[in-house]
Amino acid sequence: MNRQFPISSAAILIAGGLLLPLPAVSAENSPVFDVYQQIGPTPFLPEPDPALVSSVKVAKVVGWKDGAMPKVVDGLTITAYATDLANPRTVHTLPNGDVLVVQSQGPGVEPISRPKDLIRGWIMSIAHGDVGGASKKSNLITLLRDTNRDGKVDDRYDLVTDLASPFGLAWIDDKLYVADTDAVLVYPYKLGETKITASPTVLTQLPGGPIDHHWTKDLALSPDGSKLYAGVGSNSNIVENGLEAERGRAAIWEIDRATGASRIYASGMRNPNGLEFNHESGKLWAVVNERDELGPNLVPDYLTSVQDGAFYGWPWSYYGNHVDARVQPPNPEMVAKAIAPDYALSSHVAPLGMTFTANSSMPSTYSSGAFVAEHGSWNRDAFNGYRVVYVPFKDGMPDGKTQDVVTGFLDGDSAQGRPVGLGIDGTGALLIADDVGNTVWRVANSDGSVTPHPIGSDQFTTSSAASPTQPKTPATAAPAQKN
Amino acid sequence: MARLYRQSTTRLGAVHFHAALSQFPTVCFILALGTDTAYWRTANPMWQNFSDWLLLAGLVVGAFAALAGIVALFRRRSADHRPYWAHGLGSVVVLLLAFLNNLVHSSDGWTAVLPWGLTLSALTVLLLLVTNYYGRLIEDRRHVLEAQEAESIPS
Repeated sequence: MNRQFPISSAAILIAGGLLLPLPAVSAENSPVFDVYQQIGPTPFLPEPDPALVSSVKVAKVVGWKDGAMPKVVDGLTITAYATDLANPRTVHTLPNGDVLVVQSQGPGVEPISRPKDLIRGWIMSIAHGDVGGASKKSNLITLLRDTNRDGKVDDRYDLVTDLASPFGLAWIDDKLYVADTDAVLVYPYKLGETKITASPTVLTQLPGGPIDHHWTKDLALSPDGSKLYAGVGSNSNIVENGLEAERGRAAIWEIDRATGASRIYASGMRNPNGLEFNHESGKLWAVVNERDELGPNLVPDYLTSVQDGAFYGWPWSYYGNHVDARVQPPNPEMVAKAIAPDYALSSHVAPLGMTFTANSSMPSTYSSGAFVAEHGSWNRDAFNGYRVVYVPFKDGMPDGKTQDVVTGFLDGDSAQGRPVGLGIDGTGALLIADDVGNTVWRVANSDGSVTPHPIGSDQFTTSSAASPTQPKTPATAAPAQKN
Repeated sequence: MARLYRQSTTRLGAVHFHAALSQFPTVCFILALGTDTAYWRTANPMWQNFSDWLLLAGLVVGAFAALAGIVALFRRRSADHRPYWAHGLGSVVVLLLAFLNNLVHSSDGWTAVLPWGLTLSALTVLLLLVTNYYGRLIEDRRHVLEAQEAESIPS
């Protein structure tokens, strides 16, 4: 993820030679572990198994060749919505049906503090598909417009460029909120416009560099439109950069949209992304990447409702009171406070995107639940994740195991793509940002059904009454043509 | 006499190269025991990072010292091979322990040092004292031999 630091190839060879020949040892000895034991509200948590050499299995990125595409289950149809993007990470639908694609690369400011960081940087560069070769300039937002709502992009515009590792978006009251890695920016933006030339104002600073280990800052708009919620990931795996480096991190911030005032809404969440409000319960939800290097089956990543003021354990514990012995000094007081998340997704799947299905035109089997994008594991001897799953909900809570919806990102031990951000487009189909495949995929109901009118990602509708409560300008059946 | 002079420099090259390089693992591993101890007492990750680099430096330069030592071994002239075996095998075990210790230290957080990282650092240093003793013994005997040779060379 961070390759801008100068590494001499000799150092990599020395460091690589030190650690890399050994992962096979643990792979051969692992009995088959049923990952479905770790999906659901009460996952099986084995004892920590910190191997001498951490389990590492990285899928080398090869890209989509000869028209290859991810696979979808029966009843769904997948097409490439937009290709030739530069690391698309998130998708965001505006109330007029225009789709914004945030493309970004990590800030690459993480210093080499330990020999291990050299190896880590090298492994991540394989897993992110940027092993040499010039890539297209990233860190921009591209607008995709499907004028006739046929599921195909007709026009494409680069809306804003030269951002600082952006990720989350929100739009309301003719303002586009962009979460760069170090600040929430506000751009004046009216629906239909295809270029933003105005300079942004800073609503709130967010913890960025130095280090900036988990750099993606996702955004969600509260149902009443008054608050923004920003996910701020930790600055380390398990505080190896010291607690001071974690100030304001591993948390979800609540930001007042009018004043920019902020507070920690919930904490102890190692790397929260996929922030979205549930349409039934009105609660904020997120997917969270849990800690690594406690073995291939710890700690399960999770999907949870985010309770105001709650503490979810990181770094001192996980799933309530399961203490992580790697953190010194211990903090029994915080461990006692820690609550368990709602729903485990199994270990190292790396969920980075989530969207509820309430506004979609997907088949009825997906009418009430959430899609979750699992970017895929590296800290395991067998791959886990690399797919989009459906989590069925009942009464605003997950109910039942995950169902694979989109797979085939892996081809043997190679990655053709990796899913990150999810969204529902202006026709009710699922969009998947594939950061290494440089594609946005569209997964639609095979029967061709579309929603009666576009619904923006920020628009809050209840399942009983499908009328948007905001923004104040109601969505119309025809896409806006204001420019 | 010219021939003797040439043989002498070759032998001294490997021996001196070995002597110079082998100071690095000694110093690095002793300091790593110190920084591990400091981490144990303070839990400040800075000390852990120091240990990581010291252990890596000690191992890498130690590997080159071992190569030079193997070359020097073929030039040995003493009839008593026991100190060579003790020093050579001991040094190999030191490097193996250090390699293991590098792996242990590559974990994150407290358990990368406590208890096994610190224990391995201490064992490494203890064994280093033994191997260094035999190293000194070899050195001393070489000096004696050289002094005897110097006396026997016709002037």
